[in-house]
Amino acid sequence: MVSYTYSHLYLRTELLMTIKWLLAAAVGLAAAATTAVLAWLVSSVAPGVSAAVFGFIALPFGATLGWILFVAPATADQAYASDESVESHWATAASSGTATDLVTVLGLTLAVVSIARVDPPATVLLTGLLLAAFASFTTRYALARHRALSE
Amino acid sequence: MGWSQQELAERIEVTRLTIISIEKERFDPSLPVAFRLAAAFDCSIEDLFVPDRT
Repeated sequence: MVSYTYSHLYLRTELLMTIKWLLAAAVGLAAAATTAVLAWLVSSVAPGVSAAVFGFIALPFGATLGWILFVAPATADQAYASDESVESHWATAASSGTATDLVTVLGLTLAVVSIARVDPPATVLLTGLLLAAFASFTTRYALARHRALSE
Repeated sequence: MGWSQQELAERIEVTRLTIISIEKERFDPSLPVAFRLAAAFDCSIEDLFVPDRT
């Protein structure tokens, strides 16, 4: 009776995990299909190729999203309370510094663009802003970590 | 107690880097963490931490 109960529970857990993996795959396929349809609708040149390429590229991201939503809560180690770790302290300090850095970068960029009378594409500006934010956060976090752990 | 930093970190549910930073006096733990540390060492918080008078 006991062994039957254990095997029954094991099979039920296995079934649940299989369903979760299938849901994750479904999210991936749905994301890929949605992206493919959008690419097909928007693209004026070779919509079929655009749909295939964009759908193929979106598939892993969608599958990862599905894994985060359905599988990870059951398998990945849960993080400790974030506000109690020194890492969250470093991240908070780095985020705060990054906000200041971004305002500075925006101000300087605006001054340069205004004075030089250039009109760079928004894509370039936004990409630069994003990279500046990544660089600022990474540098500040690494510095905070180094300061805290060095002798 | 003979615990490694990792063992202590797991006992009080923080990361190992948090333990290292507390040991180096570079990080003030939250009150819940201080209570868990005191409980782990079976002592009071005042036995582990002293106020910074500077």
